[in-house]
Amino acid sequence: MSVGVRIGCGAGFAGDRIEPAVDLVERGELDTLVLECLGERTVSLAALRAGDGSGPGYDPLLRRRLLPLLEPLARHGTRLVTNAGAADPVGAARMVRELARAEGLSPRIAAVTGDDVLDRIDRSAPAWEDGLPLESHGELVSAHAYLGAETLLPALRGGADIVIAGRAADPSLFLAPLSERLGWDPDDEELAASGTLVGHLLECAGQVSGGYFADPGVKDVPDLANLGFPIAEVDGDGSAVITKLPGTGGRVDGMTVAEQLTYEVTDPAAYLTPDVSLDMRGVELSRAGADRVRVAGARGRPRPDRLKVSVGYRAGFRGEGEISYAGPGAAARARLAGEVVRERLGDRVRTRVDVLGDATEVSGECRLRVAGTGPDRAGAEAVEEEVTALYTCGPAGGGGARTRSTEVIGILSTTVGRDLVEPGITHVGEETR
Amino acid sequence: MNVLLHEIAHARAGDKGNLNTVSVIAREPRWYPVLREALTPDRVRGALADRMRGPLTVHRLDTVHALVLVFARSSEDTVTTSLHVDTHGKTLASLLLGTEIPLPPEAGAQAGFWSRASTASSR
Repeated sequence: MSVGVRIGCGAGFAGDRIEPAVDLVERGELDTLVLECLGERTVSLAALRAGDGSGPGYDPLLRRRLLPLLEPLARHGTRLVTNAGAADPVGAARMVRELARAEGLSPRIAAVTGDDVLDRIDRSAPAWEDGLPLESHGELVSAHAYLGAETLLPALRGGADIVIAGRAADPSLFLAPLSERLGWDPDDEELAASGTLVGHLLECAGQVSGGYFADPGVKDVPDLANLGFPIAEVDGDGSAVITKLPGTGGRVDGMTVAEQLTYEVTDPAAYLTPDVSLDMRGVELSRAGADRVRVAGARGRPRPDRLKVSVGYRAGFRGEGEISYAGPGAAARARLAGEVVRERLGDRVRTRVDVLGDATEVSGECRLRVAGTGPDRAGAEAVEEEVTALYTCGPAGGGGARTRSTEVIGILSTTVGRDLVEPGITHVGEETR
Repeated sequence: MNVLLHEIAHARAGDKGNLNTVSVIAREPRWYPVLREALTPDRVRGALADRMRGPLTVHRLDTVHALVLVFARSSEDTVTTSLHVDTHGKTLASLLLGTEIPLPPEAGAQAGFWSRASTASSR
């Protein structure tokens, strides 16, 4: 059996905390740090930003995230794998090169490309969500295929210190460095399943180590404000121990790992990634010490023939507004205010009205919340205007109105044949070596 | 005798495309059979009707004593287009835990659950 590999996850979504990743690199003795920063919609919004020049096509937080990380990564010889390239991995790689240069560092940086398939999807193909043709939903603005571990492997085998992908499947960000270090055969489905399971458990970072878990008095989590992010110690046979750094907040035990094991799983017998179909029905969790859980028993079956694609489309505009009422009759006044807004908006927008809070008939405070969506910006702005007008034209005592409106980018799913996707690697920064 | 699902299980909600998932995990292995009996489509729909469309699928993960509930969302209620405050549906797990479920007398007695069970049912 080969010597184990330590891999950590320093971000589980675009808005995650920054400093836990630094702690992981400084004290975790990691082989690889993964930063998972891409939701289904994130890459679509990034493509729009890049398209209209309003911002970078990569994760706008990436610079802030890497500023405190690059020097520790270099000092510890830890590799970085991330999907924060979003819609522009090459642009992200160039930005990181400049950032590194400013610190006197010259890492080998590789950008993974080929996930953008907007020009090659079948626009008349049915969306998974409702069976209707993709193009019938509105203008399609982005389409990104979920790339697998094999697309990252050439960069890792080539000795890249930093690998920046866009839309790669989250578990593939972990499977690729594990496969490379442990010498796994990419066609070995059991090992691909094991590495995918590790990735699935780690991809949401703190969600396996005590985040998204605390329920005071029932499921208590120590020092949640200083939640430690997770590390997996992975053996050559694919079994792993999930743990976190000593001295950090959070907890890693059978309960936290079981919650993450089952998170966003639509079929435990066939968790599909570009790399493998993972069967988690035989997965066993066992305690391996304080904040240590051993995970084993993943089974693999052949990977899907086609790749999943996330398609972004213009889904109209949404306006939202909220206003508070308090004291006797608060809920009745909030409901009246909601009726007023509904009547004023008519059928310009599809509207939802909620009265939130714990007001009773005689005391307490509640908050009216109105949301409306429609094809044009003016309709969304009308929601804002009508809620704001409640100040003087609505029921007694409304306060604290807040409104906002935004264009809505909807997400649909489809698949594309593997032969239509041409993954590539762009090396950035070699000239500085 | 009824108890809140919250007293014998913990849960986590997630979303994938037009599907919502809620995993419900027995706090102790002995409660797992109780969960399997209790989480009927009618009972789940009773708690989550506002966000559920179509049938409920229940997957078993016996090794960790978990049930994975999967159901479709309305085509107007996707993560990006939803008008709900909680666009993802992340609060659905906690909503479901507020469901009262029947606790077989032998299961309750076994765990010394009677006092807490009566507290729950009087809420």
